[in-house]
Amino acid sequence: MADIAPDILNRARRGDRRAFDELVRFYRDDLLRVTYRFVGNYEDARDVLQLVFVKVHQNLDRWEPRAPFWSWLYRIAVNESLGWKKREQRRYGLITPSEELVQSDAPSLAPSPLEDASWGETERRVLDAIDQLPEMQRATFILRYREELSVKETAAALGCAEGTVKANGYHAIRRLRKILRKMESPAGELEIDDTSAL
Amino acid sequence: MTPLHCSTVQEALWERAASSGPVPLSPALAEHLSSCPACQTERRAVHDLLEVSAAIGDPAPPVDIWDGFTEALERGIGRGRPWLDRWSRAAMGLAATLVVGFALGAVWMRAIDRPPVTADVRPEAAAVTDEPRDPRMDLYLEEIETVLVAYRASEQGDAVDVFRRSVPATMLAGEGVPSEAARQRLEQQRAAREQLRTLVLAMLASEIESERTGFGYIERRIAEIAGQELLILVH
Repeated sequence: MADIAPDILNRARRGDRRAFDELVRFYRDDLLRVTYRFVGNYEDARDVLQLVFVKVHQNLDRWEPRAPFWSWLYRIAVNESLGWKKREQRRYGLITPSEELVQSDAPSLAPSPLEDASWGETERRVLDAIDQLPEMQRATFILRYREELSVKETAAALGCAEGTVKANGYHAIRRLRKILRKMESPAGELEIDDTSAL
Repeated sequence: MTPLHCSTVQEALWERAASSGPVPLSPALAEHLSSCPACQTERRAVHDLLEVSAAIGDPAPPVDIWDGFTEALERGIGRGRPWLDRWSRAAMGLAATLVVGFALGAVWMRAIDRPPVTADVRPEAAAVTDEPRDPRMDLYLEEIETVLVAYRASEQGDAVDVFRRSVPATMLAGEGVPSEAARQRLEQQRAAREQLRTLVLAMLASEIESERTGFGYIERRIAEIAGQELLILVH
């Protein structure tokens, strides 16, 4: 992802409100897409994005230019999105991802886009399966394979080591294949042997 | 060359897919894949999974998605916190839920907050002894009633439904005798709830009254004021 011009960023960091507005306009579409892919509907995604930009504004002076600015934004967006989902689940007494695997017949928190008529059955299944992944596997999978970030970029966006990204990616793919196999063959049993749920 | 088992090959396929770049097939893997239809199928399935995942497009956002965004963000930044517009309408109801939940929690905690255990009485037995009603409960109930009346007056939804969803099932069930460790934890929770209740009531006075905040904000403010641990303990 391209970063905003350094002079605008520097002005925003010094408290220039117009520069900050420009920064918001520059990144908001990309970040809306990210938050949407985590929370599953645009209304919530927009609310999460507000939280993201407030946090960015509050912490701009803490950003250290060792990593690309966008990766810092992604990290905040991912954290806020995951926090949002957690709060939603807690507030309404919904089940956790690990419980979802055990009770995979229970209604999931499947995002409303699963009902989007423009998608085929395969796409719906894949999105439904991604939604059932444990939190960090889901975050890793979305960034690596939906946002198509590299391992290095994903690690920067999640604030973890590249090895962690690879490990979470491996477990995510493995688990997705099992979930999808079960979906394709409803009579089949889903093996719950993955103890790596993070 | 030792023949590979299918599970080994499939794990290798998942690992290759999660790696940072193209990884050449080892001779043993290539040989197995060339002669094993199941592993060939798995290889195609993993490839398709990643292809489909990358290709799935998102629905276009609503055309008015950015309407009022900057203004709302300005308010959030100006106030040092976000103002989530659509939540402000439900703020009274959710706040009422919170207060009712705390009060019910206090009632429930009270039920297990028993006199000291004597040598010849098991803790479990002590935990079910009756004792006089705590006069503070009347105050709690008055506060709840006040908030609920205000909430109902606002005609913003079904308070009872919101309330039911917020109360842990264990509280409503009222069954089971806690262990000593559980009693200690519940005691901690009771103290935490009391602290939270005080904070929330203070916020209700200054924030909810102006209809400018939501449940999320209350949580964040509590976390800021009292620390995340307090929230985690209560939840």
